Amino acid sequence: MKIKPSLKKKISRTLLYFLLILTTFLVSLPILWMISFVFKPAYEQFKTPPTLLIENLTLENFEKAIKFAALRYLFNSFLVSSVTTLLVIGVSIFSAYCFSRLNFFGKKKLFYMIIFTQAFPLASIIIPLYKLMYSLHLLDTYFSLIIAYLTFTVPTAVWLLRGFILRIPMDLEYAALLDGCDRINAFIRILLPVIKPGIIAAAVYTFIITWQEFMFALTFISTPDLKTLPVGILIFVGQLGLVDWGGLMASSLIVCIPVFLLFLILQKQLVSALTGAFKA
Amino acid sequence: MTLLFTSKLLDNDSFIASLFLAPTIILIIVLFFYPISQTLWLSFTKVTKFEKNPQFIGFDNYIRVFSTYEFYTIIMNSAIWTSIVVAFQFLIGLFTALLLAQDLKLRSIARGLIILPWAMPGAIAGYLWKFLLDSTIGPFNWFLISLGLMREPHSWLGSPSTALFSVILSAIWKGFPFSTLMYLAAIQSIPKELLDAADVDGAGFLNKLRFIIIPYIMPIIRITLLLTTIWTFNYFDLIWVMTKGGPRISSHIFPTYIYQVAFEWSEFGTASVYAFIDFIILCVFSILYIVQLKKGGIF
Repeated sequence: MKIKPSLKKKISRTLLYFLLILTTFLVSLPILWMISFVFKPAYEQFKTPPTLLIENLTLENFEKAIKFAALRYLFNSFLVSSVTTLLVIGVSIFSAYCFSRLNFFGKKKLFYMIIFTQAFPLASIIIPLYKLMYSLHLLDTYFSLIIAYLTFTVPTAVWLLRGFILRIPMDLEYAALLDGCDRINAFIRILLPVIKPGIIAAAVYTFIITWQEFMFALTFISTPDLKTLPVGILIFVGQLGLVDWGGLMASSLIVCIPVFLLFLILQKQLVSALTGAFKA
Repeated sequence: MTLLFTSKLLDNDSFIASLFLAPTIILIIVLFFYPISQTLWLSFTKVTKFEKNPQFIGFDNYIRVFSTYEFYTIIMNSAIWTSIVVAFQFLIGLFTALLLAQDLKLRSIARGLIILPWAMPGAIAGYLWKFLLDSTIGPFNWFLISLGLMREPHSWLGSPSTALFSVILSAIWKGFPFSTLMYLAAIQSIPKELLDAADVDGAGFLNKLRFIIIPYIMPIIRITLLLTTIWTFNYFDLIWVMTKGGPRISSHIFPTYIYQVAFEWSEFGTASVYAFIDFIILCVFSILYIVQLKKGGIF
């Protein structure tokens, strides 16, 4: 018996939908589990067998998270990430311009250097950076983190922004130059407004990766009040390894919310920034 | 006169470049080249976290490190960790990208949800998986038991034989969406005529995959593989949060071990040996990566 092509198509589409839903479900299951867990009261959290369903919804885990960890660390994280982002964009937009619009001696070699530093193993320089912060009396300050974060954010931001500028035709700038505008003005007045979406994408990307930074934050900050979120919420892991899972998962979710929101809202721009930087 | 002079300067590429690039170059020198040279120097000295004056001891640190079994374990672990994580991120990334490239109704919601693990901070993904794998409260054990694969809960992170594979599983989940995004963008840029022509010829899906899709996205596959290798090799937060490299050193890789030796045991000299070897290995990957970018015509 021969299967009709239209029926065959229907079967394959059903199969595709099934695969898509199953894959999405499996990938999101850990996050779904976390969400269901933090809305459960303690006695339900320990019930066996564990389930995704919540019988008595409660906010007690969030109350704990906010009381012990979230607010103070949230402020620290916001401060460090936003200042870093501003600095990074300020520095890298000019470099990105050079690599996409100018011809100068050593351009290629310098760009190799930027890419090379992008892939740099940060663990290999953490000891000298620690010593540097120590001798500058910067340990245990926001500055130590902001400076350290420039190491891995500037090269990436230069790379992303360069990709954006390259995709803008030069016509507008040429026209401005013919009208007697100089290069720097053409850059600031003409080019910058056009690449605004690119700048936003690079800024959000920088914010997201500094928001989640862990190794430097763990090394440079020891005063509890100055810790950033990813390290600060370790408060729920006791010295003997006893973990307050409700508090830890609730505060983990709080750390995720801003990043998830930024990601979902700006998904298109971020994806095109990342993949665009790799286009020939 | 001065006005004329400055406006001429502003039309000179090299002048603008030296002005605009100065901050980035200074940053790179102060925050990369100076520190890595210090790492090299410290690796030849006897120095702890609290000592101000490192004492030059030649190759002593290297000789000592090479004679420990820890060194070879770290190398092995790094190799196992990196290759398995990268391989699975590639496979799952390609699979999900092919799925999301189909013209299906729910795909933009599905894409948003599938990307989320990648947006999740590494440390948080670590806490989350520590929770899922926990032997009393986590659902992972219970799933395996109810599927009949296990009889009683196992302490996945607590036993040396399963700790490394547990962190590998978590890292695959956390990182594969980056590959998905890269491959999805590449697949979507394949000219439609190419795929339509294959349809006319009656090519099945597997043939299309093998003869059109894979060859077309090959440059992006190579770049993504190298990039995920570099990132995976450099991973710190997820492992540190889940196992701290333990039990004993069963799940340590370079970055976690460097951190532990330097900041928990305060042995800056020994840690610098590991740090410098880490750097050399990464140099090899970076050079391969740059070569691929050049081949792909990206700069």
